[in-house]
Amino acid sequence: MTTAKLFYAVLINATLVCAFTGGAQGLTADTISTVSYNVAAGSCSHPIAIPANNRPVLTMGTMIMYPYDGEGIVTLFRGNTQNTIVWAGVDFAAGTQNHSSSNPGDHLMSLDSNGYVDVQTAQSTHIQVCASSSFPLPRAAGYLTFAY
Amino acid sequence: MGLWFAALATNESAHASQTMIPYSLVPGGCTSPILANAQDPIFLMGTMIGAGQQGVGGVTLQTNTGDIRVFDWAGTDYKNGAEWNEDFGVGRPIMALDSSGFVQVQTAKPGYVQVCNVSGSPVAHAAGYLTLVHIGGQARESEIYYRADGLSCSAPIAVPANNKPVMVMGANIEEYTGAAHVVLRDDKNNVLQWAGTDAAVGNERNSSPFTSHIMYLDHLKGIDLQVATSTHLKVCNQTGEGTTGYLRFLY
Repeated sequence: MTTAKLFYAVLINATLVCAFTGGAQGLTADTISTVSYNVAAGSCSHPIAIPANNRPVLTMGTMIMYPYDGEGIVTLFRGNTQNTIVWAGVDFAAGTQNHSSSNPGDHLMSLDSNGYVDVQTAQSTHIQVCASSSFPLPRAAGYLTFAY
Repeated sequence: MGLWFAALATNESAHASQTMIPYSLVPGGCTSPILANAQDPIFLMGTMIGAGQQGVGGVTLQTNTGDIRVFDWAGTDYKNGAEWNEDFGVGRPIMALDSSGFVQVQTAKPGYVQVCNVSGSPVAHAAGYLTLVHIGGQARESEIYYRADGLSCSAPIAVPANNKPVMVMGANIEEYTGAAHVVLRDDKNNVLQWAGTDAAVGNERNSSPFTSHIMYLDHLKGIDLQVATSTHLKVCNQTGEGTTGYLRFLY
């Protein structure tokens, strides 16, 4: 069984056991993952799956192409009742980011210093990294890290 | 070819340490107190998943159970944006988990938090998850105990990864308490960049190749995380008394 499958198996099991009203029980999980991206100006990465339904996911990212390099951090979740992504956090380009969306292509947070490269909502409650066609460099590259 | 280059190039995974707690609350109900690590900073993030009132939030939290018995936090939530404060009491809101502020993470007894549905009736059934991200000595996590005498700085502290996002949680545990987090990166151009929230001014975002303020680790702007070099940080104590605390890295 892979770590991911084991994680979800434990999670489902524990969720069934730990559902409560007015009580608190702990469930320990161990997962952090990083993906890299490299996209041309005017294009987006393939859709990236948000690694957990309904659970809060710490999502932090960088864009490392100088001189437009930057970063951002949000807590987000993918809700499976309304196919909505909800997030709150801070990015270097614009400061506080708190919003929700049920549509693909909505801005979630910037990863560069000027707002050319951003994390967007994508189809089927995935996310994607997109570089604007006006991004001055040919390509944008960096990393997204999830902890959940 | 374009699609090829747009593909995700690498995919890594490792272990961090989290405790995930599901909750389900009727109006007026609270969970039992949930232990949050004393003094060491933790990242606390949560969701409220009920249709129509969905929300999310995340803060770095310090719960000092010593002589001071204070809660300090800094972060963001969907309802209000930046959230930062300190409180000595029980039942004080730390952050909202829903879109209207009816479902809250609150202070509880010293060292503990609770999730409460304070709606009365608008949120008939509040449900979601609260996750505590702490450091368990796994790969891609590290903790530094810092000490800085009055009007001096700590020894340089290495940033544990290049270019990849590094979350830094900090908490000062002496008389000048506080909690804060940023995500930062450094690059081949010898610049550190960061964006996050602290308990003194709220949002912090900037970049610098040399000595510069990153975020405060207390409420009074006395304990300051600074750039030491393009690859190292330092904690500078601008008060007249010695101080200690923790920095935790997740990357």
